[in-house]
Amino acid sequence: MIYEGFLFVIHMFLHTYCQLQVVAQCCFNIARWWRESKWNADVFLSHAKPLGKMPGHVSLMFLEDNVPIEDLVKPIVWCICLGVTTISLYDYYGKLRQQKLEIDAGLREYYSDFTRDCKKSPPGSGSGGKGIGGGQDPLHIKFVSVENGRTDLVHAARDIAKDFVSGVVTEITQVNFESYQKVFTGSHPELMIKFGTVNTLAGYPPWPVHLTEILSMPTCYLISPSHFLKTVQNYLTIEKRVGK
Amino acid sequence: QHYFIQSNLRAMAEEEEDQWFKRAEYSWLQSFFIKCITSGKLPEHVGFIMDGNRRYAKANSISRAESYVMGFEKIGEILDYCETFHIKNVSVYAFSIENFKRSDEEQAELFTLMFEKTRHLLTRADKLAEKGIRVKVSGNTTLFPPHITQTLAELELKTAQNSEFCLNLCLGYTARDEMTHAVRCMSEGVAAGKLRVTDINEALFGECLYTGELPPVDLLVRTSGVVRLSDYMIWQANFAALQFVKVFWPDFGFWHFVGALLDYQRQEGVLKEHKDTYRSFLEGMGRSEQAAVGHTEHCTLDSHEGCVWNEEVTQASVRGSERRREGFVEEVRRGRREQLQALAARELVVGGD
Repeated sequence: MIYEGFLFVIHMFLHTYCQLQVVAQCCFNIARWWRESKWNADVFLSHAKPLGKMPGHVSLMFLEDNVPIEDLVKPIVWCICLGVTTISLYDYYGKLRQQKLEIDAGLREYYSDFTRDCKKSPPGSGSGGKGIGGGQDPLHIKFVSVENGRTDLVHAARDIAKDFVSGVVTEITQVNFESYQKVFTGSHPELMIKFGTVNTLAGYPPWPVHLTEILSMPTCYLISPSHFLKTVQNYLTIEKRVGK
Repeated sequence: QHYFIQSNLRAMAEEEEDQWFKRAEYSWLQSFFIKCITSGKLPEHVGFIMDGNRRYAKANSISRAESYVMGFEKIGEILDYCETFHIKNVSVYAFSIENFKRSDEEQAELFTLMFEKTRHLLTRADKLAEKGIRVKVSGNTTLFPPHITQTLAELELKTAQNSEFCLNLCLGYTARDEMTHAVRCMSEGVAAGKLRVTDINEALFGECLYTGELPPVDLLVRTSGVVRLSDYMIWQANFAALQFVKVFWPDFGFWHFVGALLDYQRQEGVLKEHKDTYRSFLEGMGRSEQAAVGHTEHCTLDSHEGCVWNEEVTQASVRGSERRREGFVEEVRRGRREQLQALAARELVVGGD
């Protein structure tokens, strides 16, 4: 009983520490708001310039409940401005997919504000093409949830088994098994930014994240561009050895 | 005198190597934390990515080979911690398929260590039996030199009956290779008529992995501060707590392990919620899929007038699927045992792809 009591106290301490991290980040972001609320894409990119080249595909994993759309769209727009062309948005229950229209509207509105009065055109802007602002670079935003996780691999396994039996496929390799998967065709996320204090993949599609760098931010609430850039900087300084 | 020195050296080496089986002595504070943590929920299966041996060697000005030996000894230490905390299954990422890209010299060092340590464990099979430690190897071991493949197979067979604790060594392993192997296995089963395509589900997929007999990973720890999974158990650890610890593997100690367990316990409620809702999702999907399959199997009419599809038909279809899956899994496990026996007896021609 006494040990359970002490364990309860330790867990309360840990839980409080995590919540304090969230509160502290929100407070810092509020403090930075005075300085950074006037940031537009030009200022943002001038701070981002020393960081280097961003990956082509970034996954944003939201493990918090009820994140306001105005906070949720900010890291998406910042990724677009940094030249990311594929952004996967993951939440466990798939609520983001249900809010697709609101998120799209929020994205366009924030992107429009963020890139207003910019001297240079950030990625995703300009006329024509498929970018969020009508830019030339095709932008892919995918909504992913736990239903697209291991289930997709099982469906791919069934499809390839069918073709193996009929002789369409004579040998099963990693390359051709991947071609049967539907969720992430083409690119895999090189960077995953997870928002929330729970450290888990939470059912994220396993196949594409075999080499993904997983970085965490305590919360997406009141997120500030400088804090986001600091997290991205951590990714860009990582040495990627891949077995060697 | 030469004989005396040599036998003393051998005895010292054996004593040093038997550190693997030595129980740690804990301070009062450590014992207190052990009792606290074991009063709560504990992971059934912990995975380790043992990263940072070479950087440890560089930081401490020792040779790479020495750091690998220290890394191996650390596994013994971790086994002792897991026994203390009643954790029954431990998996370690010992050698990835990607590690074959390392220099020949480094690979030779690792293979020598692998062979020597495996041979030593074989000589101490009695100790492993006493502690109930089963050593399992996950991965494509035929990629290693034949003498290593044979020794690993012998060790697996010799400890197969031990049931208290499982040490799963991932050698010649990547998760994608493992998943592809499982898919290949199931596809061949379908082609041979032992399975139907619709029998393939998540449970069967999991059973066909190298780690099929083990429970899912609840806690995955990676040392050295690197924050990626490097193609390790990405299926099994899909709902696990992840811990990226900023110390090199030889430095990973009791308090780092305690920190990882406490953080696991902190998140356990949320992780359990994810697993429970996912299980319900799978059950619901399985029921509707099975109903559709049952109907298709039962009803061969062009028109569904007079079709007597009902719950009984679905249940019969479910039972049929379960029988086929169970039979297939048993056959896969029997096949692996036979392959191990053949490898141990050097009956199979082995070599890298």
